[in-house]
Amino acid sequence: MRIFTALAAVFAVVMLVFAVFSGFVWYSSAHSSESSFAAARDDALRSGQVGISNFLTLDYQKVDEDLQRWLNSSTGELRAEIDKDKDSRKKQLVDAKSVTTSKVLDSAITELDDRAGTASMIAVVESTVTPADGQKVTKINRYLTKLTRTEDGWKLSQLGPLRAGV
Amino acid sequence: MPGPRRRPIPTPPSGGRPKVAGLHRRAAEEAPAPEVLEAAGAPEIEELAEEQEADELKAPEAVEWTPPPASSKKPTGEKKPVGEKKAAAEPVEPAVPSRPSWILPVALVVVGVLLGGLGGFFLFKSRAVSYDAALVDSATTSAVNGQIREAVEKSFSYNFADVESTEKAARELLTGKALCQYNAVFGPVKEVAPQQKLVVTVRVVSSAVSSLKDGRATVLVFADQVTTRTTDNQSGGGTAMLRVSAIDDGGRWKIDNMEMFGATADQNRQLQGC
Repeated sequence: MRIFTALAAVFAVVMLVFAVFSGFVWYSSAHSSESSFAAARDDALRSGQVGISNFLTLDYQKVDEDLQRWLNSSTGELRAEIDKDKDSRKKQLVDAKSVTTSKVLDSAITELDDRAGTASMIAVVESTVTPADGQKVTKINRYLTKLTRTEDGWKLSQLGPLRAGV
Repeated sequence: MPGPRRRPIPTPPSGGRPKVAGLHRRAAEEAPAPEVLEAAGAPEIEELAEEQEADELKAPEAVEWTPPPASSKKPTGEKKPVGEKKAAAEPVEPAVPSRPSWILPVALVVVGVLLGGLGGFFLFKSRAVSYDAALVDSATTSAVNGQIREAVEKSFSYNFADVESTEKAARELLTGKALCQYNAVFGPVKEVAPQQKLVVTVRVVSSAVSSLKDGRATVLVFADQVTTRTTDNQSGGGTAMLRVSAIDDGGRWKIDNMEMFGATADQNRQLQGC
């Protein structure tokens, strides 16, 4: 019986070593620099998508809300710009009397500097503009945006359409 | 069963045998004893207990002596309340005799199997940790990006004077479904091209690899197209947004599927047809 006990003990120890080893393998592969870079990329992409649709969605009846949302999803240059022209922009939006909704059809990160916390993203956006008194129009546009990482996650620091002949 | 039967024993006998009396009472009263007896030597002991009713000391001792060699020390040690040792060190062991010896190895094997399963699970999880290599693998990402740009520009740019090079490029750089899609989109252009002396120039403005995994890639491509009718020098332009799928064909990334954003219903029908 003793021999069985010894064999069983050896078996248990071998299995313990195996479990510890594979646990380590799992941990290290899940925490590699590659996978954290990939996670940063996905994070930036998601924030970019949300940010763009935030920016390209507006309702002339809820301008204050829209502007606040824009401020919340932007940082740096873009935020400063919005903040500066807030009043004229507001008037413009109210006068336009239209409701715009947008969704990102596809997007991809073109560049990512994880250390600096900056990224660029391109996106295909479908926007539907509905004037207060008129037919709605759907258009598909392409955008280039720059993202900067802040304490509250990635935010847009630049946003512009990519027109033909750029 | 064993309990009630034995209880009588200790009482009747003369005061001469504290030890035995103690032993029996303990065996009866304490929970562990019955369990253990069931496991191993239960029947023997029961029978003997009956006999003993009239009988005296010798029999019980003899009987209960037999199990101890087989019993492992642990169970007895654990179950034994402190007081017992002094009172009846020898008899007690037999009384709680066999936590059988196979328990320890079996427990170890079970633990080993559980650990092995855990290890297997970890290993499986570590294999399953996979991330999309777009941008992470920067060398491959830029290779894919460059080659797809080139493929789009070459196969969609077109000069009526040099049809051959465009078609050659398309055959080399596109594969599978994409070839059919290409013909569907470009076929009509080719028909009118010679008469109008068309020159189509496609330039990729921006592109990015959105996914790169297992020899497959998806690239988002923004292109500008300038079409010039050299007969009257009229030109027009347009923008295109494509989602291109590519496969790794021995180091060369070939386009095997294209989706166009904002395509007309006609174009979509043509693409769906493939």
